Amino acid sequence: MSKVILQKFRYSRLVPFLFITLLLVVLPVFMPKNVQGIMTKFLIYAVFAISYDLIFGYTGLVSLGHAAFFGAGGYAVAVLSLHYGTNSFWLGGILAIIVSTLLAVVLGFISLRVTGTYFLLLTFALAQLLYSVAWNIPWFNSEGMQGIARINFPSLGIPGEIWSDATLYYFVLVIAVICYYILRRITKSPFGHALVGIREGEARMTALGYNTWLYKYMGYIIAAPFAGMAGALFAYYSRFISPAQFGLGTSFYPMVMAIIGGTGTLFGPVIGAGVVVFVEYFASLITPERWPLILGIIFVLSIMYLRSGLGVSIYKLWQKVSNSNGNSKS
Amino acid sequence: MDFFLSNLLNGISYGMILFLIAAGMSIVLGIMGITNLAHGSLYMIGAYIGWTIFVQLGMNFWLAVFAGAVVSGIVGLLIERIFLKHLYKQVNEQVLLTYGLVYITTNLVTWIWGGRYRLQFTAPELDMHTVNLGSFSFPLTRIVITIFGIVVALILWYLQDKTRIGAIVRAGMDDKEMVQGLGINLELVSMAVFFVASFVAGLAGVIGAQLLSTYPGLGENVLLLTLAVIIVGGIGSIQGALVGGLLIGLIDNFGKALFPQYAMFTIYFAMIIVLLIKPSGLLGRSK
Amino acid sequence: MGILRVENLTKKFGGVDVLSDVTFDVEAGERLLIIGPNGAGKTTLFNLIGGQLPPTSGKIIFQDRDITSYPAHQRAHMGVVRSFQLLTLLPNLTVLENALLTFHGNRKSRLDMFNDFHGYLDVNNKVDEALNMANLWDTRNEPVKLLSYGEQRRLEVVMSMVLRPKLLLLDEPTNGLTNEESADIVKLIHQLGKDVTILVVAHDMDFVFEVAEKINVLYYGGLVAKGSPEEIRNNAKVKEIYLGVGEN
Repeated sequence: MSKVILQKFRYSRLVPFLFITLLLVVLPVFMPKNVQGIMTKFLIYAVFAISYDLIFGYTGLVSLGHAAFFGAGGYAVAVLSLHYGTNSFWLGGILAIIVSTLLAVVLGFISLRVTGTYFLLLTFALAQLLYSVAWNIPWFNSEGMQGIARINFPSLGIPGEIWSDATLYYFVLVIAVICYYILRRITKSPFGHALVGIREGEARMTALGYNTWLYKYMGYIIAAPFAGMAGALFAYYSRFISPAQFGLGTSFYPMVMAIIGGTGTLFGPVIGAGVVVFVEYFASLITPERWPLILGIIFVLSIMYLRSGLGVSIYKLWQKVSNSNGNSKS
Repeated sequence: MDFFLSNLLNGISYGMILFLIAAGMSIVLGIMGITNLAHGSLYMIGAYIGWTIFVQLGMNFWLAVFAGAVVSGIVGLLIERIFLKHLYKQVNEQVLLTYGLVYITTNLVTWIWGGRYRLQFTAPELDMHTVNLGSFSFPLTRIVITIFGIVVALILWYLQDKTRIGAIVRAGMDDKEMVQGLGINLELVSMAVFFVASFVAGLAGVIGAQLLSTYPGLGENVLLLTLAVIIVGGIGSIQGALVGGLLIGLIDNFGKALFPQYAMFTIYFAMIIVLLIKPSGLLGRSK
Repeated sequence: MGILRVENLTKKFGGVDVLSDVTFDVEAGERLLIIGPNGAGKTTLFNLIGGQLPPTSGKIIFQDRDITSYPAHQRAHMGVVRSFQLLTLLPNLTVLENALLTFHGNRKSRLDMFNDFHGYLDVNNKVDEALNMANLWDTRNEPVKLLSYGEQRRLEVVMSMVLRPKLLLLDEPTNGLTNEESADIVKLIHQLGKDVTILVVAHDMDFVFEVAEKINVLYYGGLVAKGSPEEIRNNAKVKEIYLGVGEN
């Protein structure tokens, strides 16, 4: 009996774990620089996407303004670089977290006054407001251009540290794993399950004793620093931040990724992030000029015909495969 | 006084354009419950078609207006028939899909017409002409736009409040099953509404080209403005779109004139304030 | 004053008076049935007591506290438990998840973000108790929507009881159930002790007379009769209201 359980544990948990470790930790060493860069981009967007999944997938809040926090984190790092000449990750990362969280406290309070389509529109409007601020206010712009450029690799204050694309990748990987772990803990907790309950039936949850508004507000606030961190990492990665990081296009990414990969699962958005980033990359290689158009068409088609998401399908498939291997009772 | 009057007229005429675009989106959102983010792109398509007919082919301006309107109307109808019909009540998918369409149209437009910023264009009989009242002179185009807007507003309002079609459309907003149970082909009505909304947007695109120009990013920018209008004015009524449009137009113009540094913010502040005080919009129905 | 007092309770929707000037007391431990024809305002009354809707005017006093302005979740913490006319179990979640959420609602730990949802001993005990009482332990991992209507109804009622409420509001608990299933519900209600005050909305007269200690009759938003089952059975006005409609 115990041998069967042990086998089951080893097989169904270990293999995916090994596979992921191989893919994320071992392989990148051998990849060409630009693919490493794409992997870094993938991880950054994965963090952004799982942050969004907390409010979108788990709580059911359809926000079109999550870029507000992503941009805030990016600009935090950028401003430190431009005006204070520092690229210390300790300062940049923490500032990104603080700024995005405080922003969520304010924006969340305003946005959660309304629900449904109004909530969607208001979150969008608020992100656009930040876009305006970043565009118009000179302090947020490098000399003679839109946005802030010449952001360097982060620095950890370790004497003799050398940064490269490869080190950046592993640095981002560590942070991404930490973020994923924390969010996983949260979604498995009573709080996380309450969010799902609110998504599924808010009236009942209220009658059961849950202050649903408070949960939505807290969920909104908790998701923000992760998006902010993703934005900060983005600034280090692309060496450049612009108002577009507050824009509609940026807000769409995590939504698209969550839907493609499977909402409310946390690993789904990660897979979705991978799909989007890599499809974008390959499309741009094939048709350097027309790839946005092709991507748009693929995107529209997949909305029409893709349902519960890739991530969920893969997970279910894996369940089937591992359950049918020598175990009598699942 | 000069300052006040010129900003007033500018605000009103600009607001009329905004009304024309927003009216369609507001009714579609309010009745069919469809969030169509590509509505701004329909405006843009109208503008580009108008440009092609008038500037490139050198034909009559008013023909260009009509052509732009018709093409947008058809494109809008196609969007509804091919995509949106299947996404009834699925807000997420509607939002994603229509944004995908915005993305596609922006790229298509760049492909076909190039990414250059187009100049404004308008009918030769209107261009550079002014109307003089005493010591003030107003650009003729803006007056014509305003009149256009009022005429369309009256027609739409008449349709909405005084005709059977309007009553059906408003009833469909409240109770779909009931209306269908009365033997009315709501699908046909929906198609008609969508066509009219897109038609008006395309029309606005051509006559508004003088004010808003024609460029690939127009679809997204117009979307923003439209959302501002329906948030402020309220969803689901012609009156709401009119009030919202005029307010946004005026706020934008006076804002830019009085506080040039904060030009871009004024609209957003208006939106946010309205949402905080009366979330359903000034003329919207409270939940 | 008993455990609950409803005072001059009025609820208007637009121009319609759904409830007008309803006043009554409920003694602790009492089994009070609220009956009346459709549209009489019974569910609205429950919505007001439970906190789902605010009254247009009037007061609700529970355990000597004026709870009229208290939000629903706060009333839940005071011991007011409500079951709904239309089932509100979360259909896509499993029986187990529904039960866990139900029993976590009153715990401080419901805001906990770090520990495993499935690891709270006291909550798990309540879940075990409820699922066994409702005979649904074996189907605990099924999504609720796959259960039969009777099973879902039973689950909801049982969970309401296991929450050990001070005031239990059951809205049409036997709605859509077979005679056998209804008898089960009656049995469950009888098992509850005097520490629970029970208000029930019902229109099945057999059920009403099996459970009621007191009956209040609502008609077009007004309270037209109140008394013991015997008094109500013989009340002329009540007979008139129910003329030709399933009179017992």
